Amino acid sequence: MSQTATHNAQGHDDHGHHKENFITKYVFSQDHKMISKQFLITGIIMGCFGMIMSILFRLQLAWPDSSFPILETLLGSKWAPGGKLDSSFYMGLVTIHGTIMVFFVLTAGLSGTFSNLLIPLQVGARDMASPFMNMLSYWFFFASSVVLTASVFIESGPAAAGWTVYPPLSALPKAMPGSGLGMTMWLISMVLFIGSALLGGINYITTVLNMRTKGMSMNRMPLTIWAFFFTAILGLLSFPVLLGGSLLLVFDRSFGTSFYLSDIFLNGEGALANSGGSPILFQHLFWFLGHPEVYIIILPALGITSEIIAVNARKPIFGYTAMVISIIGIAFLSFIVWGHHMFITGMNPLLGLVFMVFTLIIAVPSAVKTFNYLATLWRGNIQFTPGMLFAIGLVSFFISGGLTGIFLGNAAIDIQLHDTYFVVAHFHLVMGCAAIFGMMAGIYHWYPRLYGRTMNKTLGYMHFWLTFVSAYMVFFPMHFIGLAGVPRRYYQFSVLPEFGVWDDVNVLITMAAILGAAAQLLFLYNFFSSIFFGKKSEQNPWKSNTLEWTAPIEERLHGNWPGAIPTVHRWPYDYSKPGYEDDFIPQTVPDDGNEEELAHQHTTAPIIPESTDKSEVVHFSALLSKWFGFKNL
Amino acid sequence: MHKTLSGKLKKLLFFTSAFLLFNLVNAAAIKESISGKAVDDATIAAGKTLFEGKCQSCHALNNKLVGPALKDVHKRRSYEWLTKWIRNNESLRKSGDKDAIDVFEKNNKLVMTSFTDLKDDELASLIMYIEDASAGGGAAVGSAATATAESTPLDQNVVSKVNWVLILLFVLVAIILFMIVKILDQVSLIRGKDVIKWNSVNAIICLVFMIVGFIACAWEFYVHGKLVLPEAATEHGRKLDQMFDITLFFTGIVFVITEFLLFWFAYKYRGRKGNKAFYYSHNNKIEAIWTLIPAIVLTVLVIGGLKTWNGITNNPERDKFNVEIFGYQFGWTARYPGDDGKLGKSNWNLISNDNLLGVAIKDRAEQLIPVLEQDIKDLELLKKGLPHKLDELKTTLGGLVDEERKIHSDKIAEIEDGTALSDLEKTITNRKIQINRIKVSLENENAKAFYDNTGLDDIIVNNEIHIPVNKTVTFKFRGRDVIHSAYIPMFRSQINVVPGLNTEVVFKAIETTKDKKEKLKKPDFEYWLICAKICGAAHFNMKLKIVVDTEADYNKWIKSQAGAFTKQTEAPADKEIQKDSTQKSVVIN
Repeated sequence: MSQTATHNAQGHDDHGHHKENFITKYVFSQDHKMISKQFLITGIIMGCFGMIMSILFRLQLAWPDSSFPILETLLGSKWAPGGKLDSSFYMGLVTIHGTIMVFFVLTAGLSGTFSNLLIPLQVGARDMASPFMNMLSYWFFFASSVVLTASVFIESGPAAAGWTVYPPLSALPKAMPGSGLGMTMWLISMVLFIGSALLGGINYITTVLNMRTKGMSMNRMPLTIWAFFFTAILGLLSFPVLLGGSLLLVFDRSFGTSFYLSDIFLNGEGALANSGGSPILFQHLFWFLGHPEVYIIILPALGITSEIIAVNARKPIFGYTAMVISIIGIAFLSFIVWGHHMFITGMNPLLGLVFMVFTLIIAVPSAVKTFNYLATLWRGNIQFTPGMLFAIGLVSFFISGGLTGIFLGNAAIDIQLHDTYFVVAHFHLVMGCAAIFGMMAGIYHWYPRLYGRTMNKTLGYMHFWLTFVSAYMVFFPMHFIGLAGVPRRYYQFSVLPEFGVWDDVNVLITMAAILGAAAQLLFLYNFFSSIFFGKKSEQNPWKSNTLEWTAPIEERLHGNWPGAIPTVHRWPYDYSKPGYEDDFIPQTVPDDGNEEELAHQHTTAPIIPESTDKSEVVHFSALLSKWFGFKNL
Repeated sequence: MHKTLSGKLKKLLFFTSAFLLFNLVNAAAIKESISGKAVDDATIAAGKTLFEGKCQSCHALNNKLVGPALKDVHKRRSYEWLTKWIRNNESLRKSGDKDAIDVFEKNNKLVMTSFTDLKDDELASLIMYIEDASAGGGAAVGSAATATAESTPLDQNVVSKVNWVLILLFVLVAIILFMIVKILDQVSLIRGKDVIKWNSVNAIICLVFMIVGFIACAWEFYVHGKLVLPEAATEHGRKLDQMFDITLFFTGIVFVITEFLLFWFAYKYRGRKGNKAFYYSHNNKIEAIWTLIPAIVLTVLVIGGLKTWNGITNNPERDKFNVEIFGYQFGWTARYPGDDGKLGKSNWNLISNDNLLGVAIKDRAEQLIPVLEQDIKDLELLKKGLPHKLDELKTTLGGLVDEERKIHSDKIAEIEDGTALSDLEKTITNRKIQINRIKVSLENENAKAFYDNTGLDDIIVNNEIHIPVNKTVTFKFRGRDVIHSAYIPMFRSQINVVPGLNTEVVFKAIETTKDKKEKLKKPDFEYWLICAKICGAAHFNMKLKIVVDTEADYNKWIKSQAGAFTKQTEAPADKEIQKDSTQKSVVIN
C-alpha cells in the first residue's frame, strides 16, 4: 500500500485532516473522484462543441443552395458569407469536430472519467498511485481543450486539414488558411493532450498493478479494470509516437526542415529550399498512434459494457477468461495493423498484404466478445436501466460497425471504399456511436457513485431511444452514399451529376442528426439538474458486486473508505448464484468454506495460491503463462 | 421534413423545366459585352468551355469557393483590368494595383494561377460567358455537372419557413413530453412504485425496434441498393466487386443473426419479479466453437482478399501504355506520350508558367533561368523599398476605416515585425536554389539522359482524356503541392497522388463510354476521376472526364491532339473550342 493511502487512512480517523478549501476541493483537487468529475464535465462541454459543429456542416450538406442568415450573425461574414458556410471553414469544422470527438470526448472524456473513478474504487485503493500527477493530467487536458477551442475563433480559422492532419496540406500555411496559426494551435493542443494522456496512463497502470486490496488478484478484477489497464498500456506505448510525429511536423512548419516534404510547387512558386522528405512517413507515425487510438476509445467502452450487462442481466459475464484474452489479443494486434489506413497511399503492396492479414484477424477476438455478450444476456433476468439500454445499444453498434470493418480491412475492397462515406459510416458506428454509448451507459450507471443521486429514469429512456434511432438514421444510409463513390469531406455533392440523387438522403440524415442533438438536450438537462435535485440514491442502487458500492456514496471521502479497505474474497460476477437467496454476492462476502475458490474456474484448480498484497507482480506473470497455455482456446 | 422534400422536388422540377426551356431557346441574355466584341452564342459557348476547364474548380458564379463569386464581376472591374488579372495577377499586384492587392488580401492571400497564354478572343469569350450567365443567360444551359458554376441563387425562403414550423413543433413536443415525465414521476412517488412497468415497455420497444429496423434495412437495400455503383467498367473491378459480394454475404448473415439474438434475448429474458437468472459463467467448448467459426470465415476472406489484391497490384502488363496524370490544387492535367511512345522526364524545379508540368525540355529550362534571375532582382528591389513602403503605409492609415484599415495595419505590422522581410528573403533564397538546381541538371553527367527530348512531342490535355478499350493502361500519377487521391469509382481504382512519390494504377477498361451509356440508358453518363483525399477548400470540386473509346476512335482523337512543345501552325478555331484550347499552350487551369 502506498504512503498516500496509509496517510489518508489515518486521516479519516482524525477529522481535522479534512479541512479542504474551495480551491483544493473543487479546482486543484487530488481526489480521483473529483478529477473524474472534472474530466467528465470538460468532456461533456467539448462534446457539445463537437456536436454543434457537426450540425453546422450537416446543414451545409443538406441544403447547399440555401442560406441560413443566422449563421452569418453567429459566425461573421468571413466564415458564413450570406448565411452559407465558407468551404474553408467547412473543412475547419470537419477537422475540429473529428479532433474533439476522438481525443477530447472519447479518449479523455471516457477513459479519463471512468479510469479515474473506477480504478481506485474497484481495485480497492484509497486513491491513484500519484494523486498529484493525476491532477496534472487533468490540467494538461484542460489547457489542451482551451487551446483547441480558442483556435476555432482566430482570424485565419482553425486547422482544416482533417483530423489526421496529413502534411503537406497541414505543413504549408499557403496550402490553405487553416494551416497557419490554426494548425500551430492544433499542434500545441495535441502536445498538451499527449502529456495529459501519458500522466494519466502511467498512473492507471501503476495503480492497477500495485495498489489492489487484499484478495484482489488480477483474475478477480472486474472487466472494466482489465479494459482500462490495457487502454492505458496502449496509450503509453503509442502516444509518444504521435508526440514525435507532431514535433517533426512543428520543425517542418517552423524551422525549415523537410521530414515530410518533398517536391513542392505551390501558389506559383517552389515552396521549399530543402526537399527529399516523405509525406507518407507522417502517415506511418500518425497511424501508429491512430490505430491503437481506436482501441483506446473502444476498449473502455467495452469494459463498461461488460460490467453493466452482467449487473443488469443478473448473470455472471459469460467467459470471463475469454473476455480478458480478447482484450489482450485486441490490444496486441492493434499495434500491427496501422497500415490498413494506408493501403492506397502508394505504400508497397506487399506491406498491404501483411496489414490486411493482421487486420482481419482482429475480427476474431471482437467476435468472441460479441458472442459472449449475447451469451450473458441469454436466460438472464434483464433489468432495463438506462445504463443497460445504452450497453445493449453499444453491442448493436459494435456489430453493425464492426462488420463493415471486414470490408475496409480487405485491401482489395478498400481501393473502392477508401475515403468515401462508407468509411465515415463505419467508424462513426463502431467507435463513435459505440464508444459514446459506452460513455453514456457508464454515466447513467455510475452517476450515483459520482453524485450520490440517480438521474431521472424516464428522461433516460427517452434519451436512449431517440439517440439510438437517430444514430442509425444518420449513419446507416451513409454506407450507401459511400458505395456510390462519394468521397468524404466534400463541401457539397455537386462535382458529378449522379451524386445529385443523394440530396434527399442528405436532408434525411441532417434531420436525424438534429433530432439526435435535441435528444442530447434531454441528457444535459437530466445530468445537470440531477446533480442538485436528483433522487437520493441508495448505497448500492443496482445491487452490484463490485467494491465501489461498498464505499459510502453519500459523503465524498478523500480516501474512499472511512475505515479499513475491504478485503476481497471472490470474483465480481457472482450474480444469481444457486444456493443463495440474494441474486448477488458482493466481492467482500467471505467464502463460506463450501465453495470452490474462484467458482468460475471450476475446470481448473485455483490458479493462484492465497492472494496477498505483496506478491502481485509474480501473480500476474503466473497468470499470463497460465492463460497463454490455456488448452481449450 | 416531408414538406422540405416535396418542396425540393418542386424546385427541382421547376429548374429542370427552366433549363429545358433555355435549352430550346438558347438565346443570349445580354445585348453587349464589355469586351466590345459582338455577342453571339458560339462565343458564349466557347467561354463556357473555358470556364469549366480553367475557372470552375475555384470559382462559382453565386457563391465564394476558393476564389470570390464571379457573378457581375464585369460590373465591378474594367475589361482591361480583368484581362491583366487573369493573365498574370502576380505582376499586376507587383505593379502596385490597389484593386489587385485588395482582392489578394481578401481571399486569404491565395495566389491565383496565371493564365499567360490565353489569347484576346479567348478572354473575351470567357468574360462574355460570365456576363451572360450573371444575367441568367441562355447559354447557362446545363446539366447538373455545371451546377457549381450556375448554382441557383441562394434561396432564403425555404429554410426560414421550415425552420419556424419545425422549431414550434419541437418546442411543443418537448414541453408535452416534459410534463408527462413530471406527472409520471410524481404519481410514482406517491404510489411508491413505477406507474409504467418500464422493464416490459423497454423490452417491447427492443422487439419493435428490431422488427422495424430489419424492415428499414431491407427497404434501404431495395431503394438505395439501386443507386449504388453500376457494374465496374474494368477487368479488375469485376473481381473486386465479386470480393465485395462474398464479404457482404458472410457479414450479412452474421449481422442478421447477431442483431436478431441481441434484441430477441433482450425481449425474451426481460426481468420479471421473482425470476432468477441462470448462473452460467463459461463453457470452453462453446468458446472454442465461436472462436473457430469466425476464424475459418475470415481465412476464406483473407485468402480471397490476398488473391484479388495481388491481381490488382501485380499486373504483368503494367507500363505497356502510360498516361501521366498530374494532380494539383485544384484539378488534373494529363500528359500522353507523343509518337515516340515515351513520356518525357520531368522535375518540379522546372515548373513555370510556360511549363506547368515541369517537363524536361532543354530550351525551356534554359529560358527559365533568366526569368528567375529577373524575379530575384524584382524581389531585391521590393526588399529595399520596405522602409519607404512602411512610411507610406503609416501616412495613409489615418483616413481608413473598418476592414481596409485592418488590412492596412496588418501590413504595417508585417513589415515592422520583420515577417515581410524574412518572407522576401526566403523567396529569394528559394529562387537561387532553384536556379542552381536547374543549372546542375543542365550541366551534370546525367544531363543528356534527363533532357533526352522524349518530352518534346508529349501531348498535354485538360478536362477530358480518352483511353482505348480492352487495352491495359497505366496511369502514372504525379503531384506538385499536397496529397490528392485519384479516385475513379467506375473503374474501382484509387491511389493517392503524393508530391515526391510517383504512384500508379494499372487497369483494363472493358466497356466504352458509349456502350455504358446505352447499357445504363443514361445519355449523360460519363466516367470520372475525382479527388478523394482532403486537399484544400475546393477538394470537392476536382474532376477529370475519362472517355473510353474504341481503338479506332481513340486513335482519331489522339491524332487530333497537338504536341505541347512543338511549334506548329494554328489549329482551326472550331476545334479549339470543342476540345481544349490549351493543347497548344501548356497552361493548366
